[in-house]
Formats: sequence, structure tokens, C-alpha cells
Amino acid sequence: MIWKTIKVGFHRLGSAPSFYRFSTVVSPWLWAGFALCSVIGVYYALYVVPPDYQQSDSFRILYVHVPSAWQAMAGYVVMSILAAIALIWRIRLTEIMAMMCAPIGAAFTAICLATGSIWGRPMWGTWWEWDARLTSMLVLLFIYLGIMGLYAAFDDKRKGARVACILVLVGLVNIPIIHFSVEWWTTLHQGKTIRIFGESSMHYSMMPPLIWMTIGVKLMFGAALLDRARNELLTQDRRKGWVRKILSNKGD
Amino acid sequence: MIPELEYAVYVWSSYGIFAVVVAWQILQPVLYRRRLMAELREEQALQSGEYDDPNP
Amino acid sequence: MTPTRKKRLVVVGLLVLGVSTATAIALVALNDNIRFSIGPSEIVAGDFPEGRQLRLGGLVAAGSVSRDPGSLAVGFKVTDCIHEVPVTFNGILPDLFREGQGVIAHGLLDETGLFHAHEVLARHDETYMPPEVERAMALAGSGLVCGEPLEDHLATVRGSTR
Repeated sequence: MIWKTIKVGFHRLGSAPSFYRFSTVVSPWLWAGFALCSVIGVYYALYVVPPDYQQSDSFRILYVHVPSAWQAMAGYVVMSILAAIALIWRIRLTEIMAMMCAPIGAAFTAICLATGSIWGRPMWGTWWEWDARLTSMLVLLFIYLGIMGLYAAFDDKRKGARVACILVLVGLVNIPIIHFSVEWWTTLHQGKTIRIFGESSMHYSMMPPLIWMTIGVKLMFGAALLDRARNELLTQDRRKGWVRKILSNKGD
Repeated sequence: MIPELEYAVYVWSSYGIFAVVVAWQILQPVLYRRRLMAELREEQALQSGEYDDPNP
Repeated sequence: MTPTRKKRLVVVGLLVLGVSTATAIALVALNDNIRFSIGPSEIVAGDFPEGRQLRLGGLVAAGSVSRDPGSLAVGFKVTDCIHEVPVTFNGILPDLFREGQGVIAHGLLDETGLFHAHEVLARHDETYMPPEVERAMALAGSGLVCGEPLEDHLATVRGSTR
């Protein structure tokens, strides 16, 4: 009974006009949540949290670097799940959602690489080294760009999405490599600080901004994904009746 | 007001990059949507014969 | 699930499995090349490609840093608490460079066993804490010292940062 309700709900949401309405309503709330979390997070990160014993204030870069890195990887996992559903069930909306994850994930990967580089210059003494962690993260950026390029190269968007979804699943292998790179090989990048299982090696007084920023970035990913998917849906369905109705309904 | 940080240039430029990329994630869909809507309305006007040609 | 979807599910599963297996095999085969740095013990054992640029990683041995007052030249020893390798370097050291700090020196080993670095990078550990906590810990004598296994050190650090 509950299962059936969920199933029907998903099928409803899967129809283009209802997804359009859903995303129009939900996305502003996610943006607002992101704004709130990031204002609190940045305030704590720059004003409240004490400097690090070794790295002084430069460690504050962590609060944008780490949430972005996590989201770059989590975004890829989300994209892979959507891609697998898209390939197996051929649901158009999941194809679109999977494809729209790529530019957002690429943006977070770029933030991660840029801020990491800026952090590395004063602390490690170098902008860039080809160690396993840094290299695998750069590979992630290229995979994201490859997915975007492949999708853009097709005129038939549904076919393009299916081909790119295969690339998504091929690239998935890079995610555990990034995660475990600091354990499997000797790297310049330090090991894991935050552990879900077991103790984190970060003082509790330094944790709140990390939590705020991480939640904020997750909300932002959702908001940007809904915005982009909605636009893609409009573009693909430009000749369809429901888009005309929206056009004639309001002057926006 | 503005905290005095060591390595200030590095910290501020990192937060700056984050802000710029986030702003782009907000703006890109808005700008794209605006362009698309204008295009679609023009198309619709052309088809329905209500097109008001700016350069007759 | 319809038979077609089941078939697609299997294909997707095999795709992911196949790619993972191939990558795992490649990574195991390439393992030595992915290693970013080698330690003093490997140098002493001769387990390194000869005549090539190396990255030597380890801790700066306590009391081993000697600076030339007239220039940027600096000498120090890199240790993994078992063996030590002397290093000479002429250039700007990263801010984190100090005794007991993890470093990676990039350069060449000469016949006498002296390592000529042309670049020295600092590593930092994954621990983040305020200076007061660190001072309290230093008083309790919980800085990393040779002879103390790293795992024990990390356990002390985590214990005292609660």
C-alpha cells in the first residue's frame, strides 16, 4: 500500500509539468537554506574558530575546500545512481538529472582543486604536485568535463544522455581511488581527518563551521540541480503543449 | 570588523573563488532561462502571426 | 522487473565490475610508480631507482638542522626513526619546516649517501587543533618522538583533543 503510493508519487513527479512545478517551488527554499548555512558557516570559520597550532589561519581554507571535495565526490555518486536508473528503466527525467549533475560536480571539483592549490602554496611549499590524491582529483574534473562534452555533442539528447550515462558508470571507479589514495600510497596530501566510524583528529571546537558548510553545500547542489534540470526540460520540450501553456500563462 | 588573519591573501582568495563559483551556479540557470523564454515567446509569436517585427 | 530491465541491470552491473577489476589490476601493477616518496630505510636498503630524481620522505630529525648564516644553504637529516639520510638544500624552506615535521625532499642521492635536494616540501598531519591544546599536550609530552609508534601518537593526540 505504502509502496504503491510511493510508486505513484514518483511516476507523477516523473512527468515533465509536475517536475517543473515541483522544482519551481522547492529550489528557492534550498537556495535559502544554503544561504543561511553558509553565512553561519563562514562567520564561524573566519571569526569564531581558533587558529590551528601548526598552520595558523591558513587552515581556515579547509572550510571551503573539504565540503567542496566531499560534494564533488558525493555528486558523482548521485549522478551514477541516476545514470544506472536511467540506463535500466529509461526514465527521461533521471537521464536529464544525471546529465545536469555533471556541470555542478565539475564546479565543486574546480573549487576543491583551486583552493587546495592556494592552501598548498604556503603550507607545503608548492602549488601542485603529482601525488595520488591530487592527480585522481584532477582526473575527476576531466571525467566530469568529458561527460558534459559527450552529452553536448549529440543532437538527439536522449541518445546522448544514454551514451554519457555509460561514461558516468565507467568513471565511477575513480571515486574509491580518490577516497583511499591517501591510505594506499604515500602522498603529499595528509590522511583522513574526519571519520564517520571512529574518532576524528580535529578538535571539537573546530567542527561547527565544517558541519554548517557541508550541509549548505549539499543544499546548494540540490538547488542547482533542480534549476538546471528544469531548464533542460524546458529546452527539450519547447514544442510541447505544457511549455506553451506556461508561456502564455505568465509573462516571466 | 574584518578579521586580521595570517596568510590573509590565501584565505581570502580561497573564499573568493568559492563565492564566485557559487554565484555562477545561481546565475547560469537564471540567465539561461531568461534567454530561452524570450526565444520561445518569439517563436510562438511568429507562429501565431502576432510577431511585431522590430525592423520592418 | 521486466526481463529487458533485468538484462540491462546485469549489463550495468557487469560494466561497473569489469571496469573496477581492470583498474584494480592496473593499479596493483603500477603500485611502485604511484608511490610519491620513499623513506630513509628504502634508501639504505638500496630499494630505489638509481641515477634518477627521488622524493625522499620522512621526519626532520631532532637537532639535525644546521643553517649557513651567510646564505640560504641548510643541512638536515631525514629520519623514519630507524635510519637517517643527510640532506643538503639551498633555497627557501616552507613555513611549516621545523624539527620533527614531515618533509618531502626532491633531488638526487650522491655516491657518499648525501641527498642533494632542489626542492623541500612540508607535509602536515591530519590533526587540527587550537594552539592552547597543543601547548597542553606538549607539556604532557605527547609530541611525536622517535621510538613511539605513529598509531600510539595519534591515539594520544585524539585522546587529549577531546
